[in-house]
Amino acid sequence: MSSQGGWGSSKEFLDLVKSIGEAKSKAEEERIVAAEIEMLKRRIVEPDVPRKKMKEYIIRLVYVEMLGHDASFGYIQAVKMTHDDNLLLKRSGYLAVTLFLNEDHDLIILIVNTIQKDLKSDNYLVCCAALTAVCKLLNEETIPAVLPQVVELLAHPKELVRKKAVMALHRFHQRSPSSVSHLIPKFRQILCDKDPSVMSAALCALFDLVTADANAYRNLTTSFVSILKQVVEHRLSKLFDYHRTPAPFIQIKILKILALLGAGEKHTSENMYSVLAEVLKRSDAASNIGNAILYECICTITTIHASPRLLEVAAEITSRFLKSENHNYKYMGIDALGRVIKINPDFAEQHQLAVIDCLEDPDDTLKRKTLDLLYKMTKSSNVEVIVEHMISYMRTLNDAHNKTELASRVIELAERFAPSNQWFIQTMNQVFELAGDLVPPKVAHDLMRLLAEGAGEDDEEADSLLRSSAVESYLHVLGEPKLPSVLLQVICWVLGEYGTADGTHSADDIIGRLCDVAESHPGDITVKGYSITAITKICAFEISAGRQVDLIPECRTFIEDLLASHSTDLQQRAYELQAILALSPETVANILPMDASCEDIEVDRNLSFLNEFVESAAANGARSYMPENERSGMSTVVTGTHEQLESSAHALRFEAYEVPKPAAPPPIAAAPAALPFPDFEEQKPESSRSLRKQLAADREPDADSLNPEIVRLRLDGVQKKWGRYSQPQSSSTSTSSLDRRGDHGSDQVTQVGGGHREAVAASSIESGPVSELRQIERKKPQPEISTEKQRLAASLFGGPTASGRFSGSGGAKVSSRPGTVVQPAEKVLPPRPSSGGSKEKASDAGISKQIAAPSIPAPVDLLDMSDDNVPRVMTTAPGNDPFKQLEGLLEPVTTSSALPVPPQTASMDLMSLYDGNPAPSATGPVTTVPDLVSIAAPSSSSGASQSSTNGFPSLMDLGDLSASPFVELTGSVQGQASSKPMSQLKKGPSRQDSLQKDAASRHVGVTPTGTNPALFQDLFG
Amino acid sequence: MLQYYVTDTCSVRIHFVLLISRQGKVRLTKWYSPYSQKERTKVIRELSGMILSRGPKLCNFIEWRGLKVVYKRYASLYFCMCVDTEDNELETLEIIHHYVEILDRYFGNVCELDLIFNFHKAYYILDEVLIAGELQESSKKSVARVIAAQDTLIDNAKEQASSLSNMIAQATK
Repeated sequence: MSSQGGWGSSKEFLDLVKSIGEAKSKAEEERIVAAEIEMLKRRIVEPDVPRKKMKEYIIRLVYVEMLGHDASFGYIQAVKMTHDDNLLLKRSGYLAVTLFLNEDHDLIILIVNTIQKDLKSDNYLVCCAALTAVCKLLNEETIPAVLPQVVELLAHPKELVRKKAVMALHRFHQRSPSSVSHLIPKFRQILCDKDPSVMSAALCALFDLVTADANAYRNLTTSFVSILKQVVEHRLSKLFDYHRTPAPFIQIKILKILALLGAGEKHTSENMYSVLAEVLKRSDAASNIGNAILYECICTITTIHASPRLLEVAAEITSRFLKSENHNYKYMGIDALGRVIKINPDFAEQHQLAVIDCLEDPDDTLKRKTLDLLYKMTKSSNVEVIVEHMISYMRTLNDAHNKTELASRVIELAERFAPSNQWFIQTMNQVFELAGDLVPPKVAHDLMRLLAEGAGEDDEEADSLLRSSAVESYLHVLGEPKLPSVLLQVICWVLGEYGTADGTHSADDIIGRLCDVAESHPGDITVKGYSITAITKICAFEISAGRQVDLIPECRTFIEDLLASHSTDLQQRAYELQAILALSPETVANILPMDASCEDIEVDRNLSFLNEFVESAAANGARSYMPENERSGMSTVVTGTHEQLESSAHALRFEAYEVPKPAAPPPIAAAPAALPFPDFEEQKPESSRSLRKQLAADREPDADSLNPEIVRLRLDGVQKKWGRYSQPQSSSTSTSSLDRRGDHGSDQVTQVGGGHREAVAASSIESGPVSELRQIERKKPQPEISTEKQRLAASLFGGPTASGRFSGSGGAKVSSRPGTVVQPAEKVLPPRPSSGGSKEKASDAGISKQIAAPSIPAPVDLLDMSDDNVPRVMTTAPGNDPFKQLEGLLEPVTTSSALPVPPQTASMDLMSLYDGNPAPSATGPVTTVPDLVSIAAPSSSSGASQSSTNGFPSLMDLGDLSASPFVELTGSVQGQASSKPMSQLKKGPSRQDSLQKDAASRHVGVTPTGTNPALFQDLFG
Repeated sequence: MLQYYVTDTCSVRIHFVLLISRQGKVRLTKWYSPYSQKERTKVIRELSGMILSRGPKLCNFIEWRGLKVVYKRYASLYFCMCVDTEDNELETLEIIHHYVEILDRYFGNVCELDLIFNFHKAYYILDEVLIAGELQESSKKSVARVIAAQDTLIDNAKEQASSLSNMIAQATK
């Protein structure tokens, strides 16, 4: 054992780890682990296993489970181990159960008792172990069992225990809010705990509470602000510094809470402005943690009621992130940009090139994030480019989750902003092709509806043009080898409805293609159903047009197949087709009229057209129809007359049953159930329509009087998304619908109004639709930055050429959303050099100049950050990895702390450092919360009295500490502890040490995965 | 096929912590959200495939099944944490670094071997850094102190017990 450098495990276990480390293949590893499991299974049930040995077995079980194997056979042993009195063993037991079990496991019930006992232990380490287990293992039912003990521990003298107790309560609140609802005021009190770590634990809980209901906690804003202020001003103990940043994790937590509290609250937000400015000023932009805080600040600033000045700074930090070489910062920058442009849409423009760089970056994560951003800023002017990018990215994806998400986004954008129906159909085809069956069927229905209804205007010609082009594109798509089922359904439907409509394709052609579709998908019943129905429709159209239908042989075999199909649905459809072929043209025209898929069919719920039939049947002695609910219970009892039936329905009959008479004429004759065809599923609208119509046509001339409401495509809940009915999101200046092109220019003139770039706007007015602009751009090569990018930028962001439109639409947005915040950038912007005369007469050259403008990185005066208080770090930030710099700093810190520190003095230190602060801060303008401990000390002797400053009773009197019965014991324990030098702490990052380890590792025979055994050698050296 | 990745309703911030070697071997796993053993294996396989194949210059985040995985490589080991999408990635990165620094301080120039053979200690330390998926604000020093106290206390526990009982025995004589 000594040779292994005190790794503290037996030879056996080391061998196991070693052999697994050396395993050449997964199979070999599996074999070794399987053998180990067998061995453990045998060993742990042996009688009288020494406890030390058992502890090792349990650690080995943990190891086995970590490698992904089932160790459930040993769970009970781990549970038993928690009962042990020896802390070492108990802790191992707790560790194992927290790793093995989840809160709903059956064995938990065996631990609750132990946990209860341990929470009362006077050894704080036992308490800690139990609290850690509590957080993981308890569920709604078991929480009440330990709640009193946990609450008691809130007053424990050790801050470590208090902290964990707060965390446990927080966890209880997450699990079952009702169990701790009476303790919620406690969280407020804990905020005043004199130890920052306990306070920060309370922040976790308060964050959840504020998320649930911000209003109830708005009065805490000043406390949060003052805590944050103290933290930022470095008034906490240095112990909580992280890479010289004071308690950054607390800062971030408070910033998150402030964001929640300030959202939509002007007054509350105003209270935060100064502290936010302070955080921004003090955060170290050269370190990663500093940037984490800055990013959080951006989130807060963009969430709360906006302050123009803070927004400027947020925008500046965002620019810095975007310009950084570090991918992490770029990623954060993209995210931050998304937040900033929500408030100030103009801000996107200056960063278009950075965004495009990210879009073209090989880094997948970055690319996806950028697409997220673009998705958020899609307008009708840039939808084509963005969707194109999304689709080309979709091609590279191969996992279902992402594809589904992206597909749904593309569909959403296409539905909202589609510039033309043609484009929409093509986009949809691509989505279907790429995402296939991941697309929800509703989308397919929407697409069919679009084709059936056209653009929603009375422009029949445009509609039929659209349909013909759809037919063409689908006939083309059918050539592809593998198509998803949803797309095939759409194709079949479209070909059936409109395949022969414009006369370019003969019926035989289309029928042939439809047969091919069905043939190549023998297993797909839905597609077959769609295909046979489509064939039926085409035949019907042919017949009603007076032409003779001679089915091609291919189709005949197909129908024969279906007539014998296992699926009754397919059989049904095939028989229908046969029936239709035998009918006269007039009847057929009634059954399946041309292009009637979206005609409303009136529903006659009373089935009045059957009256005549019913009456004649009744006259012939049929029984009258009985509603189903009256019929219930009677079906088994065949009785004589009606009266008897009525009476027997409600009472128990005691006399013997009569002999059944020969059945009366079937009562069903008049009931709808007598219809020869059963109802169809809703999903097959065409067939059900056809058969109903057929029936109706046979019986009554009025085809519409029978009325399946399911006949039509399901349109309920589908919004109008087309043409003039476009949603408010698509800006009013959109070039979207084709028919708007004409009056487009005048639209713009009216809207540009207050825009700050009249010249540019004018140029876009002159040149009209986007496509023309792009052509112009294409003609002018840009020297600095590749034209390609330039063009992309222009098309994505509206670019400079389109900026007139952009600001116009921005303005429209502002006016449409009264709550929108001021756009600070616009205020700061100096007047742009714009020649009024050029407004109407911008020449081509003028336009090209305007295009050239964005190629230079955003002009400095765009956002005039003249405020000196604002750290203009972005320009000075070094490009190298801040991590490295920080890590360079780490070593001295490590060595200095490697000195053995007697724990007791250190913990005193900690308190005195933290408590020493109040004196200066008490004079400050803002009363700080931890100060209350000292300020309120005199008054707190009366128990939970409210402090006058902000109403927090000080829980922790300093007197408690000395009065505590625990102190003596823990003191003695610690005395013991500190008398022994702490070997672990002594270990410094010495070279010798790692060399020894290296040697040891060679001895063990496990080569660590790298050539360098010391993880930190290269990083910290 | 996706439903079992839906995270539980309670808002755990960190869903799990993984330590994976460059060869894709698991060195430590800690699950704060419930995942069955089968799901765990699948998650590990999927994530190690994604993470190990990423180049060095790319960013340290992966968007994955509606969650986000933040990872950082230290020599031959990848430390990964899975958080919600709204979480601050840079902060998570620092939490990882915080943990690694504490490990380094405890083991003294930590190397992969330390973690292979003392994975249970790494678990104990992790329990002091994260609890129930939340970071416990604690200075590096105090974590080191607690762990050391546990280590020494455990060593002393026996002696102490026996000496105490001796004292009691003597006193009651």
